[in-house]
Amino acid sequence: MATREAGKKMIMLKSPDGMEFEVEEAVAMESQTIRKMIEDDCADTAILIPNINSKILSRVIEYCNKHVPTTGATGAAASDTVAPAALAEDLKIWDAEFIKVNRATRFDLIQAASYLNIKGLLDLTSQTTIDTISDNSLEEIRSFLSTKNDYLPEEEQTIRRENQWAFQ
Amino acid sequence: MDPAGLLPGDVLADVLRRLMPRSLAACRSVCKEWCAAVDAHGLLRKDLLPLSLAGIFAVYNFVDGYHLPPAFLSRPSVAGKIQGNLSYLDDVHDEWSHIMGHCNGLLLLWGGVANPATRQWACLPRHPDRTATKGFIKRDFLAYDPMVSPHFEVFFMQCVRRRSKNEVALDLANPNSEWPPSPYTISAFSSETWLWEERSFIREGMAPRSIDPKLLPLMKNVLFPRDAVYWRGRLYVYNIFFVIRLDLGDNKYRVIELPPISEARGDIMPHLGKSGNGVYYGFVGDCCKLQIWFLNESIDHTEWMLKHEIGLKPLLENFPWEHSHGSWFVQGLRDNNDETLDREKLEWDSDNDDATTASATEVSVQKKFHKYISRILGFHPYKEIIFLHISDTRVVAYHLKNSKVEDLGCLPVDGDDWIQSSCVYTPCWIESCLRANNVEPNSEL
Repeated sequence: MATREAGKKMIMLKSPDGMEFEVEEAVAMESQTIRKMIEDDCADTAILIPNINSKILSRVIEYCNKHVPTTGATGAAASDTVAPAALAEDLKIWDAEFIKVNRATRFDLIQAASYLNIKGLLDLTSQTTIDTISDNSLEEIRSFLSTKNDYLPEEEQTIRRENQWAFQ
Repeated sequence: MDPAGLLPGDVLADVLRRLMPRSLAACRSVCKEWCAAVDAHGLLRKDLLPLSLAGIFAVYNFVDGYHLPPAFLSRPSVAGKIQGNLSYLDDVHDEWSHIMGHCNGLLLLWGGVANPATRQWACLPRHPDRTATKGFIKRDFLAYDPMVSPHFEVFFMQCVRRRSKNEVALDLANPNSEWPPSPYTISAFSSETWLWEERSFIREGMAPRSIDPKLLPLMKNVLFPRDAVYWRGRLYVYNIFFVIRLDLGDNKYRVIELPPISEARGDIMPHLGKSGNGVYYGFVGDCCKLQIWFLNESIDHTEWMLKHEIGLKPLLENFPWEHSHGSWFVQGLRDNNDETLDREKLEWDSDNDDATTASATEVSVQKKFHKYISRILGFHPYKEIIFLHISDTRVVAYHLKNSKVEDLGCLPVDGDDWIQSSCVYTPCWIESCLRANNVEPNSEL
């Protein structure tokens, strides 16, 4: 993982399966949850990240490393020659590669992004779901998302009536 | 298969939070757990959406090269919450507060857009080509639906121009003049890119049929409003003889002919608007005969259905002209710029409810006027009610089902001025994508 650089403050993140990751504070602070811990001085030695195994945590750190603002901690990546638009395009391509994962991993990444409160990562991991819901009918949503309709017919009617305004 | 179906409630809510209101409403119907996730986290804020009627903006014409600020006639319950007087925007730039259109809580202004509820505003970059082809006028129209997208679009397009009293520039009596062309190229601004771009629309259906020459003399009396409706991803633009319906999703357009106007005497005031379930077109002919048509649309067919045909003479005769005052409040009416008007008489003092508009009524009572419908101000967003301006003075809500009349208040016009356009305003409280204050104002747009 990250190596120590002169002048960079480092933070230790621990997964529940015993792995330790040393990351730059700025990278860890991409997570609003960790940022709050650091700002509240609850992060002296190491931060235990519950519920997120080392495989997922390492991917989350990989994401944060890539997305940490280049003017900040990862000085090496910052470039005076690359235009911001090109940088954004590069990041988009990187994201597209990053999200090519199986369903179980995406599921874990969504949960990790939600717990750690990393907006960009949650946007990225939930985009497929958002698109599915936005573009499909109710029946299609249920089938794609493998959820069962557990409403009684009259309950469903009531809900539909409550939402009538949205479909006028 | 998508993993979201198995996410625990809090995480699910974090994902669903990214959806637009219409999709969130659909999510509530998926299953109980999803409904609970949406409700428990307050994701769907119906109260922020432009679903309620707040009031009516009335836009006055130019008088001596000067634009009167728009007046806002509002329900008493919103008078303190929404600043209908837009003169604060004139501090940004002269005449900025001139309203050119309204769509779901956003106002299209002389140089940008503004949301009177959140008091956000933004200037739009000037479009490079503002010159219209001879016989046409270029106008811009706003498309915004916070139910499905945080972004708005502005379409800048040519409309048929009425050249003089008895001729229209577009020679529709000539079967060889085919307008609009296909493809029909329109300038479009998107708040997503913050850029103007050209967009081409392909015609579906028939080109406009040539107009019966016998109708043309009738059309000379048609006042040309700047009316447009945005409804379910489609923009309907009024063009004297027909409506152009732009399908913004698949870049197609359709020409929808308007129902024939048969009344020849007096000015004819048409109005294109929307209400509960679609697009409506109404006009008053012969000063007091009201017709209201509903646009019935299927996939490849459109048809106007006559919903109401009402003689309003009884309303005009029996209207309680001596009624103390209307129930709504006026803001922004002729503020201190117009010295010819007595401010004390017309301005509603927001700190003193008791003093409201009693004085305004004097204006209407003192005037022994000819009684007529001067304008259709708009349709109620979801009830069968039409708002009418009577004798260039009073505003009434007319219930189409039972002919009940409510006196709302007074929007007097004086001397040379007249109400040029109006919009039924439904406030939107969502902090939108307006890039407030970061673009230089430009008066020329």
